[in-house]
Amino acid sequence: MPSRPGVTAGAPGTAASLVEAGSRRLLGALALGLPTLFILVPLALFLVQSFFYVEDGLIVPSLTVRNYARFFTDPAFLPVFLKTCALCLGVAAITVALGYPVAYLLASLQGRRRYAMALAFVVPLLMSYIIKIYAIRGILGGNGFLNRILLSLGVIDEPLTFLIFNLNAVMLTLAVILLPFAILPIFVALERIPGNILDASADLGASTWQTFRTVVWPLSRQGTVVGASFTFVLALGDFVTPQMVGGTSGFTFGRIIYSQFGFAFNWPFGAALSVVLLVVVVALMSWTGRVVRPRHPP
Amino acid sequence: MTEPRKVLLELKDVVKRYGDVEVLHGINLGIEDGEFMTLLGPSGSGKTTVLRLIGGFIEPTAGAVLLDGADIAAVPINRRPFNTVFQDYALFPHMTVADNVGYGLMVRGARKAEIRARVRETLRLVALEDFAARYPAQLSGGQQQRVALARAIICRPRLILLDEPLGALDAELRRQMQRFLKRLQREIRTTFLFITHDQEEAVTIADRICVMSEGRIVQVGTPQDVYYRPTSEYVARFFGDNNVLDATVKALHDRRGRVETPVGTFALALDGRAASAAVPIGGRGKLVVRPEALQIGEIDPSLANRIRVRIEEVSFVGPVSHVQVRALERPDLVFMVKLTSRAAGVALAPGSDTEIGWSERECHLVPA
Repeated sequence: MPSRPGVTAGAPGTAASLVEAGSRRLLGALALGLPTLFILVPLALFLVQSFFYVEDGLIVPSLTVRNYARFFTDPAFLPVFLKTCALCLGVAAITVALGYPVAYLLASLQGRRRYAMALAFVVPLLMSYIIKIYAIRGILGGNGFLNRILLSLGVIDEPLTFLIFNLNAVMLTLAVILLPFAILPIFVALERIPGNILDASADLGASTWQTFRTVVWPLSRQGTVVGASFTFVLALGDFVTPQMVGGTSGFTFGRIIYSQFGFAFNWPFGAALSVVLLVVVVALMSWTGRVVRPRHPP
Repeated sequence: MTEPRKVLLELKDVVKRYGDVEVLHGINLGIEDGEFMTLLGPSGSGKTTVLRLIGGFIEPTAGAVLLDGADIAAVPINRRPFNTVFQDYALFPHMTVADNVGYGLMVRGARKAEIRARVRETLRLVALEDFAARYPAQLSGGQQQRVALARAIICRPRLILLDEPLGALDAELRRQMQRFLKRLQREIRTTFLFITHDQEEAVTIADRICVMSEGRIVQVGTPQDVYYRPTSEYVARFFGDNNVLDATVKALHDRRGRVETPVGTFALALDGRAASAAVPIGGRGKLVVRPEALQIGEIDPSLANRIRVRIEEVSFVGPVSHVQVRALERPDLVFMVKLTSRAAGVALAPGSDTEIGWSERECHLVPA
């Protein structure tokens, strides 16, 4: 059969195929270009700015490492940074400790009830963050719900003050707000464990606890690590919660960065501190990525 | 073959209900020690429910499961001396083959050295010695199947429950595994309860077959029993392309009978063990003739049971050919004849008229 070039739709060189190739190229460019424009470029600008400095209220665009030197030498910063990391580890630990049983319960429900309940635990994410913090303040505050109950029960004579405006309050509030981020990955991991391998474990003589230890936990450990790193990273970058429930003693690294862009007006130093934070987060994520990778092939 | 064996496990009037739906209507079944019993039935017949009841995954609504004569209702799954081979193997994906196989011993607290030795021995039994360090995902379906089997036999259970274990395998592998299972069962001298919906598989593999339909047991017997001496039309139809005719018993005397069917009156020689005697004179039943018992074309002159037919279709299936014919007198009645392809090659042209016939010994009467 003689070939008839240019007749078959989509054949190379036809108008239709050119348009198709063009639109595919455009899509490719967008898929690559948008993240570059909105994520990589700002990060690069930030990185560059962290090597500038401020003099007489003006940003001087010449390169220096003095911002980084200041972070490591000035006793005002490194201790707060380490304390903040410890705080966020606490948040991660609390969210996982509370989230695992909840996720386990959800995964053990049947059919539609399972997803309805899972949704109920995720709905708080749709609520304004600020409103949730106010609600927690209303519970923990000096004249708050908790104190009033304890007072009226006669358990205490005057309001407890250690509940609010300190690092404990920050940790508790962050844990409550970030809990869904721990529940979800653990739930997904548990849900993916086929029911019949739990049956198989029992059939082979394992008790419920043995099944949990040898089958359920190893197969949900990855999801748990993901949940912990989610809440850790989100807590690390937070500056609103410490500001609202932290008081003066609840000073965190996020608040320091925030202040550099606010009243301290030292954007280059703020940028340097942010880069430090970013390095920690990226390091943590890549470590998580390695832990999460299954030791057995899929 | 007929030596009486001890009953290992017995189901007594077992009923299972889910809400308003009764899925098992009073099951009575004894599984003998050391036998290879097959539960056969279409999907939804309740065979998996029976298996799960025995395994302890679900509880009977009424009735009892007896092991050595004692009710085991109070014995939880992990204490029952049975192990299961699951339909899709249910191997632990995060454990090696060796850890999967040794799991049952591990949870019982066996010593490491003992586990290692028993795992090696069991893997040798299923010809997987070289795969101990692999993970399930690195194995083929047939290999995973054998790991599941090894895992189930390592604790030397009294009874091994196999839930359609060969369903996912291709035809050739399936036949190999059938032979392998049979050999293994004899080697380890353990009772097997094997579920399948494939009648050919059941006939090949079982010592005894229990045919189930819609939550009831319809017949229990050796493969020969259910194949040659079905006790119901259901079983007759389930095993191959049996020809079934409405029949009324006209005479019955000294193991010989005559039945009247829409295409003539036929002679019948009763088999002592058959259910034929269950239909009295004047009663209605079904005459069953196996497709391979039918002769076509040049019929042995001694055969009295004959029908004139028109050949509709001849299909060649390798060594045998299937011939579909229609009765000339009653065009609504279709018969299936199976014969060797060599015999079928001789003058069987679709559209031509001929005769089919069968011996009075090779037909069978079941209650309607």
